[in-house]
Amino acid sequence: MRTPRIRLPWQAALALMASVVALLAAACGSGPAASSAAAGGSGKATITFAWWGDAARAKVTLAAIRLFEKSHPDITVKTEYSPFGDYEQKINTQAAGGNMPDLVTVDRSVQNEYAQRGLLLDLDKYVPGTLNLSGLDASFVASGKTDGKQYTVPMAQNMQAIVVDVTRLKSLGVPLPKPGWTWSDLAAWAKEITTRSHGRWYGIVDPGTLWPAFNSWEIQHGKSLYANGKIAFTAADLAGFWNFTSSLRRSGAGTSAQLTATVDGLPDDEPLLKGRAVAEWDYDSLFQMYSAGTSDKLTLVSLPTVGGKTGMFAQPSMMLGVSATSKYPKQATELLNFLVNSPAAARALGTSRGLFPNLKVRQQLASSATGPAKTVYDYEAANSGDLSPTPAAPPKGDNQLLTMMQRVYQQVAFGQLSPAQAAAQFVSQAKGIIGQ
Amino acid sequence: MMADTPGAMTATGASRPARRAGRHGRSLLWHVLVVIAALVVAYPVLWMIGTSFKPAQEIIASLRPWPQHVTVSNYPQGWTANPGVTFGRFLLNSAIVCAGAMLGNLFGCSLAAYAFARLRFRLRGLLFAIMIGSILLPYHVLVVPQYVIFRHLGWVNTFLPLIVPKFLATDAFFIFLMVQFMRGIPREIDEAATIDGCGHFRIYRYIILPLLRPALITTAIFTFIFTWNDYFTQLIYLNSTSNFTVPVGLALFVDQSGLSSYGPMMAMAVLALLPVFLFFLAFQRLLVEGVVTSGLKG
Amino acid sequence: MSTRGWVLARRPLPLAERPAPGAARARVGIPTRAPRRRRNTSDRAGYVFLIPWFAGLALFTLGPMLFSLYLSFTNYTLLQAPHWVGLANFRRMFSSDPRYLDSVIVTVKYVAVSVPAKLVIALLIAVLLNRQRRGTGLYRSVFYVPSLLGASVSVALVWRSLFGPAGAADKVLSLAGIHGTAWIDDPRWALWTLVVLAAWQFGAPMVIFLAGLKQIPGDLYDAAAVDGANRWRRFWRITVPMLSPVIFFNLVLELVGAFQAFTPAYIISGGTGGPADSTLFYTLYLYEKGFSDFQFGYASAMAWIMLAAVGLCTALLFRLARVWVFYADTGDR
Repeated sequence: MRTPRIRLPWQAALALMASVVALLAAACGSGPAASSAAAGGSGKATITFAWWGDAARAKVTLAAIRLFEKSHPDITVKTEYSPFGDYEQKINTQAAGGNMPDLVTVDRSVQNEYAQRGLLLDLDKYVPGTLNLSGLDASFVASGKTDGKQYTVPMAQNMQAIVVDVTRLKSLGVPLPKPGWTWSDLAAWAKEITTRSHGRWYGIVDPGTLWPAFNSWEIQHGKSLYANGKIAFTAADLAGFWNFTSSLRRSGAGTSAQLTATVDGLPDDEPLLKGRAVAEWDYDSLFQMYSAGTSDKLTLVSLPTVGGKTGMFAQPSMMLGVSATSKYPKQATELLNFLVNSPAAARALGTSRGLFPNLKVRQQLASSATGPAKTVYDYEAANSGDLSPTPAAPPKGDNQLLTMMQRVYQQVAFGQLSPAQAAAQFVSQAKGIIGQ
Repeated sequence: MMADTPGAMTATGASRPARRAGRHGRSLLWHVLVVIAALVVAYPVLWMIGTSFKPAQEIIASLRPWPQHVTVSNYPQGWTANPGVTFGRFLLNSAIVCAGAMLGNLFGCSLAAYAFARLRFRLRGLLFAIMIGSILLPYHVLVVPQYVIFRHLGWVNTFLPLIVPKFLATDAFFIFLMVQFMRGIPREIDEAATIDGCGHFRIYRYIILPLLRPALITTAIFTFIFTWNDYFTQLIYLNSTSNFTVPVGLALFVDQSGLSSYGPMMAMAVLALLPVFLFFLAFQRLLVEGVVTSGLKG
Repeated sequence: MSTRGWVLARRPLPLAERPAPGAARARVGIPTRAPRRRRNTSDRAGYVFLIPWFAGLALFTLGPMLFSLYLSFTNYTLLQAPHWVGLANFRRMFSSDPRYLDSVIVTVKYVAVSVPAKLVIALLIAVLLNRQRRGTGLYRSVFYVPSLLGASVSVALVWRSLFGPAGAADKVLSLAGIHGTAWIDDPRWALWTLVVLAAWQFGAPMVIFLAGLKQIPGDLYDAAAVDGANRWRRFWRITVPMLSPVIFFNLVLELVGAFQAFTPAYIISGGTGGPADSTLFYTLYLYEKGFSDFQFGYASAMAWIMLAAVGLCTALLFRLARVWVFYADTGDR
């Protein structure tokens, strides 16, 4: 017979621990209440700046911010960063709760959405006093406007490109494509790669899932994705694009359906880096990241042309905006100004987001660039003469079309739908989404 | 004395050497079966550990579980990957949140479970249905109104939204668990105690809680593990990097805008697995000392 | 002898033979005091014990639940005030949203296969481990490790590697003569890799089963052995019935959890539910609608439909439980 002991000491210990933990919990973790209370009239402003990215980007951004704080001793900057996949959800939740960060990085596809829903401040009143935009390309700056008002400012610029693995090309004896090549040139070139490597490498990653690739295609054909905030492409346009990419896939020049399905935005899943393809459609701002992922030599090639048009344009890789509910809009705008104009910021930030917006500063950096960064600068310089004008910011719902493109094309790639059927479906759904 | 499965019973009457051989044979078979099953189950984890010792090039290119060139550099890299804060900070934050959540659930849920399992009161059926109902609603829909509430309380970017609700028994899952376990305790014990003059609180504290130890430990273990791995809530409520917990910290290693650091991430994931594993290893022994029958005998 | 018989055989002694007042408490070790008249405080006691739960319910659960119910009849973009649209969301769900129905089918398939698989494996392993051999503690922990990993990013990466092109799964299956594809990137097989993931994490129900097995009094088995029952009979006549409240518990919770499964699909498919919507779980679609597409009202409507459906399933299970679940505290309720 055994008498169970009373766990009195156990429970007392439990209660004690509970109170300690509660105290710790309250102490740890700085709350916004403290900072906003302190900020009231002391003259020192605390602003929050949010962006998406990994630890490497965080390091360079924090370095730039420290430089800003040194030159602006009355402003403290708190930072928030998270991976891209969850960034938007986080910002949206914060917006719903009324505590969006003061300075916020805005993705191009939701720029109009945020502006039109009243989340961002109209920055025109700070130009040119606090915010000096004269050093940036005028049409580039204009891409940050919604309904004629400057709600956002582009933080960096990139361009469309085809990333090519030169080492593998050389080993196959296939020459590098020349600027001005056409889509049929690309088809032949990619097929050549697949054949000569005996199927070991695909020529190019199937671009059928890429919304920006279709964007360039439309521009090459003298059309555009949107006009006056509505859809301007037709099912026939899209079907044409998808027919072409399907032919790439069928001939073996383009990656198989399953391999294409692995492409999820993560660099590590890019078939080029995994050693499965030789070329890939992407933005030049990611070139350094590609280079870091392989010991092969890589280079950038301009897009295939249609009638001499490359369909390339100076794309703002991301925008900066000030929250409409910010308590310190002026200070947030000062930080914005610093991040797009200051040479110190440019040196600290590097090219992790793309090319620096201020043209003079960009020139200075370009002249001293080396390695992969130099390749990017050279590429941009070589193509700056052939650019189409930067399209206006896409209307609300564009980010949904981006994911829909991937999803619907996968059905084409796996043989569940024909390009014509899929294109028709896509357009009818897109019409419902845009302008909702 | 613990409840042993029938297999441990030995029949009387068999000759001793044969019985011993039979027992050895069964024991060996048992070990073989369990080891095979354990290897199959553990393979992905072993793969993870192996990858944490691979250099970056090998990780993308090769799919073998064990590294060709062993390197330990992923560990320090992962530890110091984020500027201004080490991974150790994330581990500490997670530990605090988990400890708080554990205590909260043990306290709040056991009280509520006692009421549902042992007490008869008006509206009991309805309230029980509401309690079960609250488990059924997908969390993502509650998150926005809850966020607004916490924001008004000024608790955003602290650990409070992750801990305080537990003390208020918001994890109905565990209330339900404890109710089921309590129903396995015969009422005769309660009745005996009541006759001796115990009020409800004493019964709860001195009789039910001790007998509920397996369920309490299960609750503690599960709360710890759910909270340790809970990504979404911690992402939403924690803004400054210095407040991040392990799941959010791990996600930082993987991002579209830069080459993900798989090696350091696997290294930190292995590191993050250790506390939970050790916690479990320590507490699962307590599960073995089943306590239930002792109150009934004698 | 029936299960109930065995339990009732240990019913307390008749009044005359009961020990003196205070003796029970002395045995259990509680400080004794003069017995007082038993208050009929059940109602009040019930509410007092429930005070923390009430507070939590009011603050953090009921309010948000009712608000989300309201939202399901509105268009709510998260960024502006909700505006009323009546039943439009519900109508859209069932008539003009094919992806909604796809997500229902995917979720039902997932639940129907992963829950039984998980529970059966968990029960078998728990029974296997419920003995005092050397190393049981370590084995238990090893089997539990998958659940410890949860649905984290690292697990997703491991799974993608193992089930991706030329991954371990592919190699193993080719040994068996099955020449596959990249399982996790193929719309025909991607969902089943998630089912395997769910079954792999059987540690949680296993631990609960273990706790339940510990609670089964050993003397029941003694009595059965004396009566000549063999191992199989003992399993079905003692273990399973005595474990039935726990089995029921695990069944309900795993079912609800599987319907609400989100993180595995989210992380492995990168939030897309791909490839080609083959892993578009209901909650994943809900999340996409709410947080990516700014249609939080529609997402709330989806949530309440799910609550209704799962609630019905659960109520059904509770009803059926009266038939097969055996509770020791009240006999055969």
